[in-house]
Amino acid sequence: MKIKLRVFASIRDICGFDEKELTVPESTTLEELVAALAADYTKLADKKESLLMAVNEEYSIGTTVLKENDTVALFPPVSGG
Amino acid sequence: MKKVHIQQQELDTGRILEDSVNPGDGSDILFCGRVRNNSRGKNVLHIDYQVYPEMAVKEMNKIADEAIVRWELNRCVIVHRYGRVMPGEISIVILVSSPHREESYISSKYIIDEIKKRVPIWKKECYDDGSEWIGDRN
Repeated sequence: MKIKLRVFASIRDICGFDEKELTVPESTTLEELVAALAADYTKLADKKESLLMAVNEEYSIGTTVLKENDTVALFPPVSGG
Repeated sequence: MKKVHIQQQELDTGRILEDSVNPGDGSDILFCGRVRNNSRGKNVLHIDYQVYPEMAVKEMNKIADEAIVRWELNRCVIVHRYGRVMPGEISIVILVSSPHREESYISSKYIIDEIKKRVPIWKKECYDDGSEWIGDRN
């Protein structure tokens, strides 16, 4: 199934893109997606502890099961203000 | 009245303060966050704010709604800048209005504290000798 991945701040620097369409197996969870990405972008593994995740603009946890056309966002702790 | 948005251009605090005044309100608290020219001993040239626009506006709306309900605010405005913001410029404005000052003071602090925890906006401080994402030093 297809999903959209968006990354921000230091995660964007690591990945080298701001958004990308990905094809992932049915029932992939967020943590599985992050593990797969960390295999391609090794520096992502260093950020896993503090990584924040969102699905369709809502904060989500690693066990969240992704659905077709979901938008996943990965980013570091926020620092607005 | 609730208004929440993000923008690149400079913030006009006078306009925000006088927009949709409710004559029943006895207190306005206008909080402005400004970019400092120094941070942890370094000279800050500017800050680049990156934002996840759709989610940032959604989260700011949730925070505004929470504050409006909890402290019965009649006005709640949150405007955050993104892109390059220079030292001395305002990066965020929070306006709250209510009949009495206590609710305004408390709610204003609640809103900025929650924004700093939850709203997907990131600042990159730029110095003479490089730059650094703040809040992300792993």
